[in-house]
Amino acid sequence: MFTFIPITHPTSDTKHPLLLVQSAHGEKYFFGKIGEGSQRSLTENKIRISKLKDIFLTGELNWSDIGGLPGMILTIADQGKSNLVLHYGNDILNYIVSTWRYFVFRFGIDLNDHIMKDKEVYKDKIIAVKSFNVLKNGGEDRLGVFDSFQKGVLRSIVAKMFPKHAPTDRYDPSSDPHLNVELPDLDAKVEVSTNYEISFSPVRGKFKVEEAIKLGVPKGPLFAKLTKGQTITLDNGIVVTPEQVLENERHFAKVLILDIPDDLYLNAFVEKFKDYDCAELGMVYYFLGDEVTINDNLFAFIDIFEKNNYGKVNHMISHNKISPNTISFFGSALTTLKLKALQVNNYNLPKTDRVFSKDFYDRFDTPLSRGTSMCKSQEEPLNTIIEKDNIHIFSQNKTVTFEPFRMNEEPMKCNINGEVADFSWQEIFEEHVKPLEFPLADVDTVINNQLHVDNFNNSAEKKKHVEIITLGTGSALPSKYRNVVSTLVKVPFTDADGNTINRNIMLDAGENTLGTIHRMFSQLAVKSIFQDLKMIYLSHLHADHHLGIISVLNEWYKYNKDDETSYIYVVTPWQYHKFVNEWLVLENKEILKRIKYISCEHFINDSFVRMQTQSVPLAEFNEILKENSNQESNRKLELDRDSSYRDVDLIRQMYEDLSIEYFQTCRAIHCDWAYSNSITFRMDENNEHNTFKVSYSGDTRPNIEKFSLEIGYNSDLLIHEATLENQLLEDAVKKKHCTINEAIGVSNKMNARKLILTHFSQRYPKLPQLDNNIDVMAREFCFAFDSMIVDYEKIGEQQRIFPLLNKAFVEEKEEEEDVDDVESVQDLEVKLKKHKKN
Amino acid sequence: MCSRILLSGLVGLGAGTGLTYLLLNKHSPTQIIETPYPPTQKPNSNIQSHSFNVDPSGFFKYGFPGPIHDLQNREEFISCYNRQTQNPYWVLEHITPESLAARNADRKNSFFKEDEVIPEKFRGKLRDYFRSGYDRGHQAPAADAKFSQQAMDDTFYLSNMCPQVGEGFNRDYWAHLEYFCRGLTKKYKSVRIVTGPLYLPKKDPIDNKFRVNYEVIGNPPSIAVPTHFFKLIVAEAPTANPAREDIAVAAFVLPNEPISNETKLTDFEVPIDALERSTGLELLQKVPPSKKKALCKEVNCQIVVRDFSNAAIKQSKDVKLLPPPKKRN
Repeated sequence: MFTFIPITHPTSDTKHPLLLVQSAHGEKYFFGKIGEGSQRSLTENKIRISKLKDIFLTGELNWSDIGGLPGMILTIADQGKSNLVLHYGNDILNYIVSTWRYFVFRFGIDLNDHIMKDKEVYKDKIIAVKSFNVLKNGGEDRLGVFDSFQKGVLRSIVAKMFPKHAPTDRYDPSSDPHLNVELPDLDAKVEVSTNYEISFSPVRGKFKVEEAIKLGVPKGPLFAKLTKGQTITLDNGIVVTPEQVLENERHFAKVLILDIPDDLYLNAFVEKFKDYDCAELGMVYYFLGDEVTINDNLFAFIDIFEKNNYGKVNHMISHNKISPNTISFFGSALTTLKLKALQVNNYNLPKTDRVFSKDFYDRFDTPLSRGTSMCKSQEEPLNTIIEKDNIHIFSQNKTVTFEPFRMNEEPMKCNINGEVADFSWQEIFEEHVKPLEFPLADVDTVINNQLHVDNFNNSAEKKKHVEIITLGTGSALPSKYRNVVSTLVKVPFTDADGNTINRNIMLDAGENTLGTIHRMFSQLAVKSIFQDLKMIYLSHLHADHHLGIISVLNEWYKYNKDDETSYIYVVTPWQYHKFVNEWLVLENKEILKRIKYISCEHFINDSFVRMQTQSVPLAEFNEILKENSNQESNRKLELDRDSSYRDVDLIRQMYEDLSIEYFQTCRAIHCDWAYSNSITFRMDENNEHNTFKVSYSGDTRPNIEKFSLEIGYNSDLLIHEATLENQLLEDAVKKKHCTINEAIGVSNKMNARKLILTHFSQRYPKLPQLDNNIDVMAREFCFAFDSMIVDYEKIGEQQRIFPLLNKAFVEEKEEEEDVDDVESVQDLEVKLKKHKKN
Repeated sequence: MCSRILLSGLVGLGAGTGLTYLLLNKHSPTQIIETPYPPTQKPNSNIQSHSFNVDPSGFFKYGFPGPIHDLQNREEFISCYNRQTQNPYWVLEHITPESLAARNADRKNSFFKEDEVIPEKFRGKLRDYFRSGYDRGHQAPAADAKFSQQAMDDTFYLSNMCPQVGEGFNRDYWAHLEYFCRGLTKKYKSVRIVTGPLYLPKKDPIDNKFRVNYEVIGNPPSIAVPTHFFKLIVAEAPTANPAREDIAVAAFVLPNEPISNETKLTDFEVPIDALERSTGLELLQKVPPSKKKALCKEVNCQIVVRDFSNAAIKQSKDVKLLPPPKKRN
């Protein structure tokens, strides 16, 4: 028996379908897309992937499609898994993995890629997977974009990212050409979609013992031979064939997984599959991109697969206008609801509304809850020969099992289970929040009056105030209750005419930061947040701080592309800028033109600006490798001398564009090329004394000298990491983080007016240590929770609810007891990538 | 934004906000109904007011102050104008499958115009809307009056307009709601719609008191910008059972702000009673409760965004967009 379990389906915070295929013995395969949030979905649903062998990636490979993969690989490797194969139909996969070399580095895991030619079959003893590569513009599959030399370099880079053994202490990334080599140029976007046909090895029929004895076969080794399919000859010369003594072998239905990224692919798909043999086909999964239109053209394609030899084929459709926008991370949503019950104006009710395809739902007469908004893409009813009973909506709980059946004797066995449960905030409130008996928290105040209320920037008062949204507040890796870190700060500016202009600044953006935003805000609110987004700042290269940035940049571009004068400032360590360039060349070069990048190093409060390593031209790569292998010590790579000159013009322009008075960084005490920063914003064009100074620690040990007393001194707001509880000082030292007391100490020395503590270890999923901390000198402070919206003027209001917070999480506490220690997985990996100080 | 806020927001609203009743005179189109000159009251026998020479009604010889509700009886709709807010109190219209099927008008031939029947000083002006940042939002939509050019032209009187947020509201969600209303004529042979502005109190977060707060556009400030809009829908004679006497009704209150398309229309539904309290209008008071059916139980009250003709919707909705507001000086 094989079970197909959807891990994610398109929702606000899991954008794409991912399917887990599991054998009766527990072998696991992934098919589909590893979008951001996939890993967290596994955690949420307690799905272990220790037996995961292969990942079959479908469709195109944009960040949105596989943005969850690097984080997942890191976690898988840390769980001690030793081998994993990535399958895909184009060698662009190697380029993609190579772009991660600045922040993905794991030894002990054997990560291999397998580039599948069109119609190539990959087989193990359980499963046979045939690939279908469909080119957007039709035509023949070129399989790859790289020549053999380029391929060699890319493979060499990937191998180096996942070495079998730990590197020696002498390993120095700054002299490793693998890390610093330029990737091959890409002349055009790779527009190919990979699709798969899955077949399972048949199960042999039962051995008919009586029949064998009747034929005169003696018990013993000859039985075994027959069961293995061998023909035997008895002593008396009678020949017995396996067919005589074995029941017919039992087969499994075949499954197709088709991934159509957009409408322009449709003709090529029709061309590819018009003569497809549906004989044994049991189920077709359609992973449809958001831009695919649900109309007659699409269903004309689906109609190709209507019938098999046994009757009707089943169709499972995944699309963001068809699949429900269910809550993906219920544990987290429930936390938000409880906190909202305590501070109603500090959290938005997570959104579950979505616009559905009327064409689809009318045609298949499937009920949706009343009042649901719909969209229609054609005037006429949808025309298809597929019947209602054979069409299914892909969603997380829609599990399909395939059981063996005797060909041509029995019907095909393919069982589809699971319906989407009705969802109601009111019921959840009654069940989980009401029993807590919070004062003033009734269902009207918390739910009914808040259904579409956006608590961010929603009143005349707040429009004039700084507001902070702590989108993610956890460290290391996404966990059930806290996602990885990201903070959005809105700093309003009053121009000479009295108009308010918002500057939204994003400080770090871990995986699925965008998903969190989409879950919190309506589409229109998202638009305005991104139109106001002016800067993304990255503190350091650890994956838990930046795997969400590419999505944020893509989303920014979506809402700003028409305004050609708009651009976004990206302030990051230089390695990350290289990654952004390499990635966006692959996905959308236009965005690169709209990015104004400044290295964190150029804001350093030091007369000495470190130089970055000069990239190694691709052509010299082999030469250097050869040289290095011949010599005792490796050739030191050149430094980029120009990089030590601050980009003063651009910095000045940024000051002007964003009305910034001063922007400084200092080196954080964490990993190489890690920074804390401090930005002083002007608030009012008519009043130069009206400023707002915000400081953000990034990950660091307490840095009194440089951060508290120099760049951050007298900050209006300090946002500081407080990873560990006070008793775990040793861990904090070891992992180069702060305890809560240490963070408070930094704030006190800084003379910060207000303090927000964030980046809590996933060891404390819900509540950090609230008491037994040293006194906070700041006028107000609070602990960050995911999706918290806080008005700068009201940061201290949280203190009133401290006594209730412990009570709020009693039910989670019980669950927590049996959770393993998951601290510090993703944030260790660059440890070995120490660049020596120049 | 949710309608339920509106309801709770209304608690504690004092009496006396009700407006003067109107008597509709169907026989006199575009007639301005003046409240009749009230007869001088007889002196009260107990209080000898005359002996103090008190005669309040004597004021009327100088002119009765009003209020006057300018009632315009158009082909497709009737509007009742509020001279204080320079918005209509309400606009009621009637659509039928036949009236919507006819295509005798082109929007291109219609132009926004001031309603000159209204005295100049109370009249909404084109220039008041200019660069205000708001759309001139039809209360009776032009698309409901395609059966004659005159009927469509009439919808362009400013006495049928309120300042509405354009993007995300008038050109989007509100337009989808209007489309929903038209769609009802597939199931009912007759649909009546009352549309109008609301100025709803909101809790002030500082002192927790309820206040009404709205912008006024124009120079001098003349036209109030409603905080919300309502639509009362009455669907008569279901196609499946035209003889039915019961009517199907629903009332919606939407905030005058961008609304994301994914928002359920039913989240804006309010009881008619609540709408009466917040508008001060009496709505369907002659219909016994047993004859009022919930429209949203008979049809799915939802918006349908038409992707295939998105461009067409936008075009037909407001071809004559005003320039964006000037930055404040």
